[in-house]
Amino acid sequence: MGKSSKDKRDAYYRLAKEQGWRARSAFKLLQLDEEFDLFEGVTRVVDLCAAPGSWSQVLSRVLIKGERVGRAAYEDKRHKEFLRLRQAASAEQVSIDEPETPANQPRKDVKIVAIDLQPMSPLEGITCLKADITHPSTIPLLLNALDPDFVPTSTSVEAAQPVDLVLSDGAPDVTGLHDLDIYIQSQLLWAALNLALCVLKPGGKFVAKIFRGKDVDLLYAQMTILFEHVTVAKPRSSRASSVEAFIVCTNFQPPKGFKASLENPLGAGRTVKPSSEAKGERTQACRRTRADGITELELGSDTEDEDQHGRWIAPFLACGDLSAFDADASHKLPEGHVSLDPVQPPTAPPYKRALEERKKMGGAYGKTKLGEMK
Amino acid sequence: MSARQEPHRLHHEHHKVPVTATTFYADDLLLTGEGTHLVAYQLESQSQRGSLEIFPSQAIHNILVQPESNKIVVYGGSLIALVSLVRNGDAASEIILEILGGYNDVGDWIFDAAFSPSPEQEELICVALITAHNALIRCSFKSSGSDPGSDVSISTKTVVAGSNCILYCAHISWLDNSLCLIASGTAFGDIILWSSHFDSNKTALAKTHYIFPAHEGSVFGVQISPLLEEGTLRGPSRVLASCSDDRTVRLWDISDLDCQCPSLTEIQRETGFGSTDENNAYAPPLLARAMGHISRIWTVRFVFEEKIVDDLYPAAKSLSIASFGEDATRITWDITKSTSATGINQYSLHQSRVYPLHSGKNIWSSTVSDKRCATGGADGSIALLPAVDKSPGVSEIKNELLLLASEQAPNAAKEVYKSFAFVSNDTIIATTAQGRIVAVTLNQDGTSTLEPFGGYDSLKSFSMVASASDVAFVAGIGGLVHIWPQWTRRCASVAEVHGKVAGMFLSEPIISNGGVENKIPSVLLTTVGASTAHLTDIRAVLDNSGLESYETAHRNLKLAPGFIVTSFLLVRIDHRDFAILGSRSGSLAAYQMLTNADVPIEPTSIIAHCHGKDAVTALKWRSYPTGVENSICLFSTGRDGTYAVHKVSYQDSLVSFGLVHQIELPFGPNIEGLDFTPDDQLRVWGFKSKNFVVHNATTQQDVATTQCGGVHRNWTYEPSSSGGAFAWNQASTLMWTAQTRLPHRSIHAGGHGREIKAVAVSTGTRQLIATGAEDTDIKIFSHSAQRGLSCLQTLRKHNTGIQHLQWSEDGYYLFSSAGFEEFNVWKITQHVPVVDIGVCESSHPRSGGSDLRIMGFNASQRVVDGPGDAFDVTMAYSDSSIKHWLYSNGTWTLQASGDYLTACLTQVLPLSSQSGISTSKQILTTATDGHVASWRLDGSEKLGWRQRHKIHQNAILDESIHYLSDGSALLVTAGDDNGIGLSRLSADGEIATLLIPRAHAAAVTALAVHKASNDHYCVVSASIDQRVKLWEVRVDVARQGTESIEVYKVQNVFTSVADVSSMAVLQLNDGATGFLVCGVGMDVWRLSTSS
Repeated sequence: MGKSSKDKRDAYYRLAKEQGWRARSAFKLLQLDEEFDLFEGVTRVVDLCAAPGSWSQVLSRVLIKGERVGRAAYEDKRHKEFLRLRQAASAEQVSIDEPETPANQPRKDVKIVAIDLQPMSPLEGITCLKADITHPSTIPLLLNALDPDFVPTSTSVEAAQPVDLVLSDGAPDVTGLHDLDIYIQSQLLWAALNLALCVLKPGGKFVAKIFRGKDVDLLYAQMTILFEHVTVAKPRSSRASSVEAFIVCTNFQPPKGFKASLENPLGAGRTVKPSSEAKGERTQACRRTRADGITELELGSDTEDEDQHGRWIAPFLACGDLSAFDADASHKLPEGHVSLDPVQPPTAPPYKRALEERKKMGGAYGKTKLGEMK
Repeated sequence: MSARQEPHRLHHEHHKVPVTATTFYADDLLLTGEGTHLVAYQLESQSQRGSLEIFPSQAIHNILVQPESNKIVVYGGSLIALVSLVRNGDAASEIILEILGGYNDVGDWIFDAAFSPSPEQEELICVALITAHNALIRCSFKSSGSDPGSDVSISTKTVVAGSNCILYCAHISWLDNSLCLIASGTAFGDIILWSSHFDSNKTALAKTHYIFPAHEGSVFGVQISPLLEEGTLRGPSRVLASCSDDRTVRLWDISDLDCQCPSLTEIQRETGFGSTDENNAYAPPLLARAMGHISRIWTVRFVFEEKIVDDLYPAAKSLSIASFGEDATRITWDITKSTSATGINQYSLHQSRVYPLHSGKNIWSSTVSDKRCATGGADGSIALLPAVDKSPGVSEIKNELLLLASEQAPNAAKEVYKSFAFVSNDTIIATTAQGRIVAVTLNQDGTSTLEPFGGYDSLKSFSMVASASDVAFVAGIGGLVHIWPQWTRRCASVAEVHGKVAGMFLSEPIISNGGVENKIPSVLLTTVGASTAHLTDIRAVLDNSGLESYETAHRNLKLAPGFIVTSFLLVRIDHRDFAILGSRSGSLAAYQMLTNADVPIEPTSIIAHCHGKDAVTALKWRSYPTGVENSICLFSTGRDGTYAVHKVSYQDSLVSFGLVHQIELPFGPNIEGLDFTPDDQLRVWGFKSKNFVVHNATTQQDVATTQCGGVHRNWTYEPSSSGGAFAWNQASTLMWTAQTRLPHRSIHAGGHGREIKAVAVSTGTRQLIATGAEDTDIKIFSHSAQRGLSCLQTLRKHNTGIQHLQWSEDGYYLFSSAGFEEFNVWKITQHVPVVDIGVCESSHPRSGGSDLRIMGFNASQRVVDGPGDAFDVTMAYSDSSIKHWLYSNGTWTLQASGDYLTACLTQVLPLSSQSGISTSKQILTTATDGHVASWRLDGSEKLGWRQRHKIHQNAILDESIHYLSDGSALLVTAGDDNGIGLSRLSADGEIATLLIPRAHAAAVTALAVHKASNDHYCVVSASIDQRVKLWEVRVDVARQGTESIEVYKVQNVFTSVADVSSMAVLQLNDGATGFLVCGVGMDVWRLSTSS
């Protein structure tokens, strides 16, 4: 396959290179933002599992530089062109506005801390930490980075100056054993949430990658105890064929008496129980006609076998305009397209040495029998 | 709503899913975890004896057995259960499995468990567990009733609390009655070796012995050895083996457990990759490391063998390591010891054998006992093999033997074997550079003995040997042909041709009606540059002195220009004899064997490109069952990587060849020969890179593999059911090997090696199931109550994952699409001898033409005048375009094309026109933008969508359309947005949608619909949340819009199939309706109706 074939297969891969993003996942955050207005009033953010740093890049451009970043528009235009041509026959006038680019508006007192297991190239204005988010020692590191006055000897694991938003785009290397992969991903999500519980201010937001697989409704049910609104969102830049989605939790409302603890974290064994009043209102079976004419059928809690098993299905929201690039579609490259090098080359995999050894011994596929290593 | 009684229910029939646990039980049973089910197999017969669902919605990940108490502990995820096993009579009878006391959730993923050697008095069983957060948990099964086994209660207690750091593997081993030693492997390459006392009353004190960076990637497997005898390794009394993402297996000396190091939190100031100090003081000595496997290594196990490894310690067993990986192989590693000059013992790991055991990727489970090893694959099969097994020995037939055998020593340096062939399973007839003929007998101990049969000048510069069972023929430069029958062990000349012999081919003689049985094959000789081939029939007669002599009859076959013979066969069709020749350029020619022909016989017919432009290497035939007199089945192999079956018919003095079956094999491209086993299975052999491979095409398994350096050498093969004997020239020596036992046996072979992406069930006279997977293969299965799903054929033609499959209405054609614009049409022929289902293929000329995926298509048969079938095929592409093709007699014509918007199209559905006679056809497309669009195929070259309707928020992943009694239609759609759409399409094009937004917890990826009665449907949906749901949908056609649709959720069940991609309605043997759910495995559900 040629170098440009990935450009054709994946519009976001190409676009990321053209717009200087370290990874295509930048678009996922941008599209989540389009729908949820994640950065509204936000100045303090923690970005977990940040490497190679494309989400931090988005934060940097939006919060520090105050840019109005958005997706490029040529596919958008193509879509509008299609519609325009179809409507040309009708007298109706379709106006395609070219929005004016507003001036950059940097925000004040911005604090962004990015954490990853892998070392990450520095980004201006962002504090990067190399640490394991599941490890208790990470909490003092993070609190210190957020607040230089933090005294590590303090027993408190809650931030004095909490943050507005915690992001996590972390995913494990999948093994292919589905239930194990889902378990490991859920543990990453719990680790991110446990850290978030220490630093997030009431009313704050939490956005994390989730695998929509077996028992994901158990996770949704737990999230809805801690946050007022829980939505599972799929950006258009995430492939339909992928189990990946993002859980967007807004208005952090810890139950009364809840104390964050990394010594006794949520996840492995410990769960939060809903406080008896507010949560878990039972839905009634009903039909509702939406503005677009579709009638939605709510099955009602009684038929959902949900409550009794601590399960709940979060509402789903597709993010990004329908006319945006489709991550599943193949694209015709513009005339004279030049394939660019990635902004950030991929990090070395653990089996890099194995590949090198194999090469020395005469190629990967010639002879599979490998001898002893000296 | 839930109170409503609906008449339909789903019942689980059976499934074929990854085997995630395997354990031997006593001497005679194998227990496996197959999804939620614990299955018991009898080893001797490899047949299933019992099966029980253990957890309602969790796969089994390991099984611990205690045969002396008939107890089994099963765990998976965070769940654990105790099971009893009761044998009901003799070996052939059923095994009863019963859960004692339900199951318990320990709160975290269980990575390993071991029986306590000293359970407390009230405990039936006590198990020590290690969780993914490195906690040690005591799990007690207590019996409260007087009858042991009744009223079992389960309780758990955390003995040592875990850390926050997540593990990828752990192994727990008991050092004595109360002390556990635990090895834990982390995601960041560290291993923690720790121990703890295990007491239900006291709080245990855990002791960490070693924490060290063991690997450069995640640690996927660790194993602590039992205490080793002195002679096993001469030094270490206990070792630890580990394997990882970094493709290495490492062996550590953990004899010293007095060593204690601070806990991980104390020594680590930094976390993440590379944070533990490489040169830290808390690592045990590394004894050896080695690299193996193509991809990640999941498991390591120790293998002990009763073998003297050290003369000083005759009682010590030998120790080796078996590793199991993502590449679906097992590798055996020998641990070798050497002593350096300074007297220090040094160890190294040497790969002794690689066993490819499963198709596709991943061995998920393995077990090793004293004698046996079993593995469970992601392909749903179980491989059984000996615990220790060496490759069959390769022996050299020494050239010196030639010197000993010669009467007068010839020029020794130049005396080498030139040409050779097996005349029986242990005898080779060979010619030498000095023109001698020798019989080499191969002995079981690897030695060989030699018997010379004279020398001939004509064989000096050039010779060739051909053989059939018990008879060899030798020809040389002069054209003189010698015969050497095994029963006389004498060499005699039988034929002579003029010129240099280019090829010599044998075929079993045809027994003429009333003729005497003849065991000597007919010989076809071709000479360099000649335009005829020389055929000699040979018959043995006894002369007066009782010696055998030979009567011959000769005929000449006229060769077409450029026809270089590479294979030859005599056949009998409708009481007439024919010769069939295969050529170097892939052609076949048939000759009618007229008697007393003085002039060369002309070919009756020739067909080209039977094996592309590559040589036809071997020919065999089979007659059809009685009733088909004028045809036979011709089997051929070729160097195009395929074997083929032609129906050869004789009618009106003409011989015709009709291809009924041709498929690519999993090795090649040089396929060199075939034969039939006594129980009528098809065996083929050839080369795959540097290996000679024997493959059973019926069971679709490799029978033998010999590393011989590749195709460019002289070789000979004698098949047998255990693998056969193979000899080849390597440099100037003759090597041979004989396999007397199959390397492994398989239970449930034939599943896909990767996840299934598409399924289609035929509706013809015989129900066939086609599945297409990410492994790029298409498989054809049959389904029966007794055998479940059995794979009949594997079609290897696509180079990318399959996107969509569809059968023609009559079941004679299968259509398949994939990435790179690949599109194939497969013609199905039933009742082909030996192969059962014959399949031959035709590719769309644009296949491989671009990187577009053909996401979906619809093929509908077009009524045509004249012979052959024609189909209208409308394809939806990943770049939002659509094309309408006409496929007729193997040719493709573009009828029309068009563009949708920018979203990737996902499927094409035909929309039957209810409005009387109409020349135009309507189709619907679905796309990743959640819309359906309607199109009209009205004969114009430009296609444009007419109407677009939104149903889902994003991709529509599956859909089904059904026509209601008033001519309107019900469209059911499955959305990536977790929703199911029920849309009523009125005859005038109006669409009204009722959406169930939270139908599943994750993307709804598949659905299938059964019509229960008029306007009443059973819709079954499946999702990647691993739930299958049954919905009853009724439409009141008298009403309009969504008000007319009533829907009830009837059932919500778990499926062991992860990553569900597709579903189809299946007819079960008793006529009941079933649903086949496909993804990572296959799952069959029965729809029952209560009256």
